[in-house]
Amino acid sequence: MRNSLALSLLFLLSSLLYPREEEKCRVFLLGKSYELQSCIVDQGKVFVALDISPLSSLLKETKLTTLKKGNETFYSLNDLSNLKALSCKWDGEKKQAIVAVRLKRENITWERTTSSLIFQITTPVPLSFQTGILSSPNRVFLDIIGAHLYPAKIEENIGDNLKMRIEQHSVAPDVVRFVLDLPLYLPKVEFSPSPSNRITISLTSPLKGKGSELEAIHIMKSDGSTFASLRLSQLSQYKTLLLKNPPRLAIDISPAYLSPSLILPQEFFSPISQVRWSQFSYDPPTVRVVFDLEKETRVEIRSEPSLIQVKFGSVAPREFRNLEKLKIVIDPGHGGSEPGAISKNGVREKDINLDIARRVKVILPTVFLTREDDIDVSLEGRVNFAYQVNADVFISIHNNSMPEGRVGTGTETYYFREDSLILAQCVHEVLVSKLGLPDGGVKRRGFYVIKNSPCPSILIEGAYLSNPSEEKLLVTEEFRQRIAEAVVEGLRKYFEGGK
Amino acid sequence: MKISTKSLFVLLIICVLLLSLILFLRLRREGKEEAVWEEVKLYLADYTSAGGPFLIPVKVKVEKNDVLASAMDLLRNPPPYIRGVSSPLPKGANLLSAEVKGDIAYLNFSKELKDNFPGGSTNEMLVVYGIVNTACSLKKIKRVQILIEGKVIDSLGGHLEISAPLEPDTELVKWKS
Ligand SMILES: [Zn+2]
Repeated sequence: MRNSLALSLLFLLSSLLYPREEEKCRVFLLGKSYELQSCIVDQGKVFVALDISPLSSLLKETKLTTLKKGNETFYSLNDLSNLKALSCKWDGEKKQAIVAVRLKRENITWERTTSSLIFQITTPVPLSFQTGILSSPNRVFLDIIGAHLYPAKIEENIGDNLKMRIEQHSVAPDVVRFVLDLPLYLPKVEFSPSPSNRITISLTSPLKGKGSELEAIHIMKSDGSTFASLRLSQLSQYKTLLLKNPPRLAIDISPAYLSPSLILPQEFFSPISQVRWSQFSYDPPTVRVVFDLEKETRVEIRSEPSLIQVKFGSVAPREFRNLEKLKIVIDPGHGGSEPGAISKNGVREKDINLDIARRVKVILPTVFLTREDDIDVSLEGRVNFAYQVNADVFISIHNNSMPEGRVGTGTETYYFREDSLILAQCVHEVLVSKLGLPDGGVKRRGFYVIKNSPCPSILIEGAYLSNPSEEKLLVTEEFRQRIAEAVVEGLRKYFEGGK
Repeated sequence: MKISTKSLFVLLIICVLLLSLILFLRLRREGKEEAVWEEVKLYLADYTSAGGPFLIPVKVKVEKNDVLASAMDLLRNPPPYIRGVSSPLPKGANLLSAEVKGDIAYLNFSKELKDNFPGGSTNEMLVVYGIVNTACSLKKIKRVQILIEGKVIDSLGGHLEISAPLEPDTELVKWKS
């Protein structure tokens, strides 16, 4: 009590000794500059004569210390700076006062829907802002006027290669710059009108462009099998990738966009553990859907103009067909003037392929070979042969190579049409387990013979001639015999459901 | 010798005119320079990434007046600043001539394109679609007919048919994310 009395006495004395002097100063109120305002600096306290109505929503329950002089009302800058929502500064040398909004990370939120990304910046009082969209590199910026950022710099990755950068662009005038880096594409960008205390930026995929829309992903169980279907607004090309570690099936659809009202699966069934989807790229527009699988699984894919259907797991037993009664075409790749790949030691692919094909014929004498000797057969001729014998299945035998300086490794099996995927998986599984080389996977590739044959058709690449250790294997009879046996066993698996 | 103010004035005018002419010509040339470039996507081979090999599209600008030749030259000798990718073309494969009829580009290569092709099915796709996709990234070109020393051939390496014009194919293309 006595203390405060003494203090007020001191205060009175000092104010008598140092009369409060009015001077002209510059005030930045929410980024707007007011020149030649009246200010009073008194005992480290600053009072400014100012129309503070832009702050009125903040001041409802706050009592500010005011001074009245003539017809002017002076507000205490110190009191304003005690408000959590504001950030105030006084520069005694420049005679400059700043009143800005305090902007923190928690004032900035973002939300993702299937086709859009919406950022929202909430401020305690409405602020004006300027916006822009820039290219090369593509980015969106938003200058929020009248704010101070705490901390002065924020950088965050939003995912999908989007990066959000926020920083104090300038002080007096007080501008916080919000930048979104968009590396791949320029989406449709919309801003809420300025000024606002709820600034929104919405980024929307360029919908309704050329291409179809992925409208729905359904997963269901029927007759003991799990099915997934992707419904599209129109026909688009797609490619599938069966991957391992972790096991998953990726389907890329292009040109395609994600529909803003994409319907998602309600329930997953084994072997699907999760489904992910994204606008994988915008140039060209590609949608990627990934099915994460509990374990490696065989899949069967069918497509209709607006539907891609995937069947997982135990593939329905094919009608049992005795291998010996089928017309199986074995196509040793290359031949004659066309050697195919040649290893460093001069081992020619055409010879290896022919030897493997002959071994298949020894195991299963009913097969037809597109060539029995080292002769030229055109790609078209091989396909015609399959037509002539009215083939039930066509297997082209090759061995792989990489260009000079590269080695390459492993066993790959290619298919092109949907009717050939199961055959490819059956043969590939046996090849990989019998040869013991790295599993290069079952891939969809448009090689001529498998694109144009009249029946399920695949192309196998047993091993790499450009890889010295695999070349060593390929020159042994034992290894070539194993490839031949794997082909027959794979066929049995496909037609007879056998082991 | 005394120079009259009038002749000084004329001299000044001439100087100003000359200067503006130089400036004008320079500006015009700059404007022209902009117009002689066309963007092309080079489909270069990435042999090393997991799951590959892939074709990686890389955007570059080439001179418009010989756009196909420049693009194929860059496909054979990619600019050194482009890392992690290399030319999909076999050694010594040169473009001999290029012609565009309608929307089809006829690209005539030296015999090395076939003779030096090292084999491999995927590798054949890299070569063929490296060429086709690159050419088709140019305006007006929708298909490509590959020729060897002026002749149509069935196949480079015995896996893909190239006897007819080909459209671009994205099976091996990986888009850098
Ligand atoms: Zn081959």
